[in-house]
Amino acid sequence: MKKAKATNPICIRELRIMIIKHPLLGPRDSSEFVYKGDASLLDRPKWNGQKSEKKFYEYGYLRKNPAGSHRELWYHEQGDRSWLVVTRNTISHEIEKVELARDIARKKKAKAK
Amino acid sequence: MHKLKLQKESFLGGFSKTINNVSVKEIIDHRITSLAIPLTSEKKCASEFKKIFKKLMPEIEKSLSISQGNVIFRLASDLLFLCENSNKKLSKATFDLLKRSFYSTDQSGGWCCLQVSGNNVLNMLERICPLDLAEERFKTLDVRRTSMEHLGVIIFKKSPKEFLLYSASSSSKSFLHAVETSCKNL
Repeated sequence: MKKAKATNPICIRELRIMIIKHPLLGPRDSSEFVYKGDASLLDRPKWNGQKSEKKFYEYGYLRKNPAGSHRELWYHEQGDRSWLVVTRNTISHEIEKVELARDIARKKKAKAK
Repeated sequence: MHKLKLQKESFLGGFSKTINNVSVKEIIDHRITSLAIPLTSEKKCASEFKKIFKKLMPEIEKSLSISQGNVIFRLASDLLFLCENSNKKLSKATFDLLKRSFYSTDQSGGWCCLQVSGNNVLNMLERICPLDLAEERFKTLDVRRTSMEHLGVIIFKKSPKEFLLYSASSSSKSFLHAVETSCKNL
């Protein structure tokens, strides 16, 4: 009698591990981080500026969501509790750049003065 | 009025067991104080630290042994943990000096400490720890904050085959279960 070929009931997907090179701590597993959204959230509009209502609507709800290079906020919750701006390719998951959000905010503040 | 006497109780009842050449032991006698550096006071805190301990503040993820059994962990750019042995605590005068420049909070009740050691300890840890534990990456006396089995853990390498694992006391039993399971699966 011909035996039926057993099918594997478990579908093993390729596991993708992402390593984020923290500027202070070195390479760390992405499981230590929490994704916190588009890095444009750092640019909060002025509440009393011109067209502030429209700007706040865009700030709160509208995202570019590109297929490619994307600047995003990551929080190192299971580490040193730092906020990072990670530039990641959303197609390949390749991380192009990692910066401390603190440094970016301070640079912006100094530039505005 | 009843005369009540408060007794100290450990989170895991003083757990101590050896499984597959890994010794797992709860460390009871310790006091943990977090020392946070106030924003813009980084230089002041570094110089105060040097005055008090006659040593430089450790780099991030490094530790400093300040006296017998007492260690300071630098967990982040603005956070240190002072781990003291209950029998050999720092003097009140030293502690008051630290409090003058750092924000301090007693966290002894928040953390449960497990000592894991033995020949198989690295094999056990690599099952639950996402860090690279190789000696060249994670040297003796280094410290890291990470997650193991979804729980936040501070890992301190006391010697090449001895680690201290600090996990939240509220979930210490779940963490002990994760460590025991990892030992059994070796």
